Amino acid sequence: MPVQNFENLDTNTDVTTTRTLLHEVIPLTGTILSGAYADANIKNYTHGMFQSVYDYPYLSSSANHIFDITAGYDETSILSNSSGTQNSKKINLYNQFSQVLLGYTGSTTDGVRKFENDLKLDGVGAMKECFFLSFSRLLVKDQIKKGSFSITVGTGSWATAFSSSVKGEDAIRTYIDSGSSATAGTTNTIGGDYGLLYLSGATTATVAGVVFYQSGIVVLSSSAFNDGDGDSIPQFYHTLASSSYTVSEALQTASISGSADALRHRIKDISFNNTTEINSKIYFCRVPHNKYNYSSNPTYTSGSKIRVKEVASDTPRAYITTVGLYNSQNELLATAKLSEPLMKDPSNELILRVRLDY
Amino acid sequence: MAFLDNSGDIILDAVLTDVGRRKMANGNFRISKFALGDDEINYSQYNLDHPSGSAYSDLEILQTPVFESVTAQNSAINYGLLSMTRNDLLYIPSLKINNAFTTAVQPSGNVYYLAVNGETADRVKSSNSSPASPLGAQGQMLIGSLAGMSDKRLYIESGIDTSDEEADSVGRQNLITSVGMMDTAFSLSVDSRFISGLMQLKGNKVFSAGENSDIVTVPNELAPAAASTPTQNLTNYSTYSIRGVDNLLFAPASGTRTDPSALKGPRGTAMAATFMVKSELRKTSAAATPVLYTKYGKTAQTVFGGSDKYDYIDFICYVTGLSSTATTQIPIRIIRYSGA
Repeated sequence: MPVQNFENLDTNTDVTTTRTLLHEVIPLTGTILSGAYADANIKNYTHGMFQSVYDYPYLSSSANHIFDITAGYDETSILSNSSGTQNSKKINLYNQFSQVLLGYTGSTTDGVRKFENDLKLDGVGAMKECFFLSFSRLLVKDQIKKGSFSITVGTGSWATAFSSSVKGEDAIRTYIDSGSSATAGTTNTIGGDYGLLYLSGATTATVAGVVFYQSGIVVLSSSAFNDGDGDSIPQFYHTLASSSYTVSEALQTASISGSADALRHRIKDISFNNTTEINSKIYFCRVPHNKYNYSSNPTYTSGSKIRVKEVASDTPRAYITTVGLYNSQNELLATAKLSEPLMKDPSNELILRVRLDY
Repeated sequence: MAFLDNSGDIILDAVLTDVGRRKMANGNFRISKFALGDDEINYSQYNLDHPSGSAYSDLEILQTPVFESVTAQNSAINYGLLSMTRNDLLYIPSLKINNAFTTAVQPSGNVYYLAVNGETADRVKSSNSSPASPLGAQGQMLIGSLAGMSDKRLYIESGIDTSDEEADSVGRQNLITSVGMMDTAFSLSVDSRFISGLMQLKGNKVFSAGENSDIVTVPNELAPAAASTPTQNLTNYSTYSIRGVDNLLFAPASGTRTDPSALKGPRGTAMAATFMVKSELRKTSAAATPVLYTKYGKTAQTVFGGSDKYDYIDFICYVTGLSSTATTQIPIRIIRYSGA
């Protein structure tokens, strides 16, 4: 039945807005990327442009899309060759990411900026051969938290990617955006802010990729799989036909999905914190001492007598469980429930703080 | 709809309702007021005589688990908390259906029957049906949906239902009039898929029975009620404002008459109503069964035994007193004779 007694909310004193950033830790273990579901959670497409990774076999309705992997290179890369596998698609993909994330400039052949291993965007230090990891909005939400991203890869042999070493170096490498924070260490582009992925623990700063925080895209340079001398590791990719490729050979000779397979095989884990921006409107529902002390609940009376009173002079009381927020036409727009009944009588005043998040 | 965790601090679990989301999509979401509810509370658990003392009177109530918020309008606040200017109220008026007046309809079981046409009204009179229907020889338990079908009305009184207070003019003044509990109007919410209008008492008549008089006056002249408005929290329902007239039925202090009121204590106002059924439901047995019976009710039922068959639809009529906010619910069965 319609509510009879309303209390007006003053928009100047009873309503306020707040903004809160909520972060969640997103850990992605390598077993999900390769192993746990025998690739039943990996979706390849007939167009062969990218590969999708799900958190469960993708034919299941419970599966969630978590990210896509693709690879490409700039047309000025040494890998660009018309006889290469999917050569034009790889160039197109590189340019698609770069034009959306970085935009255009008049100083390059095709007018599209190149990804760089610094924050200057001055044409120096271009990363022309890259893997692209595009994370689902389901995980990223509004953006990746700056300074929270890390990706650990294995650079060992194909059979033992995470345990054997190359030239005596540690097979496991972690790339982190340790130089980025909410206030520094990033550059703003048309694709949002990006920060650099440094090799963790390196004595000299080694950048092997960039992270676009708002877009949720990680650009990983093929150099992430070079050894300390700058040479590409052997056996980056090992096909079913027993052909072994370095990372450059894989990018040039293997299909895009083959390169994506190779990258998945070498990812040990990925971790970042996502960010959700919550804009809240807070309604301060002020309940005066002289109001809402009775109830129209049918059980409130017995034979018309108020049950919580013995004599007329007893204090009336009621127990609040629900706050309804209405518009001027008395339409209920939002409901808030208290976790336990709250006693209201003429001796107390209450302020119920109802927060609606958007 | 689970319970909220009540093991720690008091929290508020807020959601937008379906209407709220629609308003937001339309760009006219604007909250301007609030109201409070206590639908989960059963006040009969309040123990004034708790053996451990008055501090424990509301122990059971405070332990009541509260449901999560739901988005449906009609699951939110059905009975709101009330703001009364006085703290010394001991009584809040109740609504009671009066079946005792000569022109009052009586329920059959717990249901009030509403005949859709003259054929049905004649057929269900026990004198015309075999075996005799339970609705009375002259259809005492039947409301007619059109003039001339039945002189029975649904009467509802608003007042104090306790024999602790005298049902006289002083009690009326002290417990109802002076505390602003006179229900000068009632809201009746009915299913608009079946009901097209309501009739109410004319305004210049009152219920009267003097304390020292044997004359009882019960008004029964009806006039159409004003157009309805959509009921806020009930889908497919419309609400009519029905006039409440002075209920001056006092308990007899002398004389031979009995007390005609359904209330034990002081009376405030009373109302009467009949229901107009939508024309598509009123077809006689010569016509095919209207589809509304098939969709929302039952068809060709031997409701009263024998071979006579009826179609019917049940719905609930919700009644609320304007000032007292007292409520009652009335189950009504729309019935149509469909053949033998």
